[in-house]
Formats: sequence, structure tokens, C-alpha cells
Amino acid sequence: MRHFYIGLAALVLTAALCLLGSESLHGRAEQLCDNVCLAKSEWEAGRTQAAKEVICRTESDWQAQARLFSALWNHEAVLQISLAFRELANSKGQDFPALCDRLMLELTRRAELERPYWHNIL
Amino acid sequence: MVITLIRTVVLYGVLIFAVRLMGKRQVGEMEPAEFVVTMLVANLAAAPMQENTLPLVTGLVPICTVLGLELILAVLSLKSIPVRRLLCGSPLLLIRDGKVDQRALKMSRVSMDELLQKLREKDVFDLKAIRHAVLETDGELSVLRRAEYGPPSARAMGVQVQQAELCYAVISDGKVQKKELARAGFDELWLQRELKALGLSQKDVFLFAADPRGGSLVIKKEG
Repeated sequence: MRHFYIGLAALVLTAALCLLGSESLHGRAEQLCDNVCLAKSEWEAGRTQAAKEVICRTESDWQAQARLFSALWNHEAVLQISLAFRELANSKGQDFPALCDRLMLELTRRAELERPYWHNIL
Repeated sequence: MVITLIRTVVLYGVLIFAVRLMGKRQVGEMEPAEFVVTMLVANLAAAPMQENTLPLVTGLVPICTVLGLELILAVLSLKSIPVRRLLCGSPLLLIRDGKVDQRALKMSRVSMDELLQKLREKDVFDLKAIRHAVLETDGELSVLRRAEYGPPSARAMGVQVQQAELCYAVISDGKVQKKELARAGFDELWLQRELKALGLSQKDVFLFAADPRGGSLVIKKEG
């Protein structure tokens, strides 16, 4: 029975860590999305400087957490998001809202991919 | 490349641990489920070893999951006959009382040619010599020969023979194996006396195998 409990413990621990990791990253990605959404709202309200500041702060948050994301997400995907932040921070023209949308979509999509929904499993 | 090296070491350690936990069977003796698990675990480790953009957890999580499932199912199949039948199947009698069971051959999808081949691999070239043949769940064929076609046993000839004993490697590569020595029923004093009688020291011995009756086999180190 010892092996049964070892097997059960391995399964339960793995499942718990996976769920914890997935929920944690989902929460962090949501937070980043909210900040990007805020930046987009500021830009659309004409407060471009405030929008840029929000984006810079959000990019710093992302950089601080990028290693954690890399531990669980594909490294290429993490790199793409880093590049998207950089592009957004350097954006000067009218493409700012579109870039915000693209970044939010990418973050949300990556975070949703890790959740145990039936369409992800299939 | 350093990352690949470190990942390989980590995954190798995990694989060794997983295979060790799964038990002591060689590839040829595994049940179908065990064979699938072994191949699966090896393939799961290969992807993050070769592809650095994949997180290490993409290898570790499936390996731990498969290992956990394998351990649970192994214990369940040990405790429950229906589960064992479901996972491993049942042995099938292909030859019964010297007669080939054609229905059993069809059920197990074994052709007559394959059956004869398996018999030849068991050094059986004459079907008349077989009383029963069982196809085991791991695909091996077990054969019971007819008494008149097998070698006579000591009991059949009424000959009294001494029982064979297990041999224990009490010295291996110059080092005393204390547990083996205890299992053989001796102590280090006995061992030193034996070595002195042979004119050898412990370091000169490559192998010293002893049985509980005091019989021994000694191989000296070369070079």
C-alpha cells in the first residue's frame, strides 16, 4: 500500500502545484491586462502622458515577473509579450489603442490556455 | 548548451527515480501497460531536453502524473482480480492435453506459424512433446512438456541429492558486503580465517561468494 500512497501523493501534489501555478499566473496576467486597459482609456481620453506612464509601470511589473512566467509558459510566448510591451512603450502614433488591444489579447489568450477548460483539454 | 546539459541531468535523475519506483522488471517481462508507461516516460523527457524554449515543467508534470497513475494502478491490480484482468488480460491455454486450441489461437491473434516459432524458441521441435502451452499476459509462451519427453528428475530416478544453496557475494571488488555476509550466516572472523587459509587479503579479492554450508568461490583481482 506504500506505493499506492506514493502514487496518490505524486498525483495530488502535481495537480495542486499545476492548479496553483495556473491560477497565480492567470491572476497576474489579469492584473497586467487591467493596467494596459487603463492606459488605453487614458490615451483615448487624451491624457497621452498618463497613458505612457501607466504602460511604463506595467512594463516594469511585467519584467519583474517575466522569469516566473517563463517557468510555466513557452519562452517564445514570453518574449513576444515583452516585445509587445516595448513596442507599446515606444509608440507615438494612433496605433497605441490597437497595440493595447493586441497585448491584452495575447496576455488573456496565454493565461486562458493554461486553465482546465474542456476546449483547452480537447 | 549549458541549459541543455543541466536539463538533461535533472530529467535523467527524475527518470531514474521514476523507473526505480516502478519496479524491477526487464523490458521483455513487462505487462503491456508497464511497457507503454516506460516508452511514454522516455519520450516525455526528450522534448524539454532538446527544446530550450519549453519550460522544464512540460516534462516534469507529465512524468509525475504518469508515475502516480502507474503506481496507483499497479497496487489496484495487485489487490483486485477484475482490475488485473482489465489491465493485463488473462493467460490463455493454446495447447491443451497435446491438442492445439484453434479458437484460443484466433482469440489471441496468434497464427500457427507464430506458435511453432515460439515453441522452437523454447527448444521444442516436436508438437507431440507438449502437454500444455500457455500464452502469458506479457506475450511469452510457457510450455509444459510431456513427462516421457522431458529429462528425468532425481526424484523420478529415486536418487537422493543435496539441496542447492544460494550463494552470497560476501566480498565484491575488495569490499566486504556485511549484509550478504550476515545472510550467508557468517561473520567477519570466519571471513578473515578463510582468507588467511587461502593466503589472500581482502583487497586481493575480486569476488568471494559463499553459501551457508561453507562452500565458497573465490576470484582474485587481476593486474
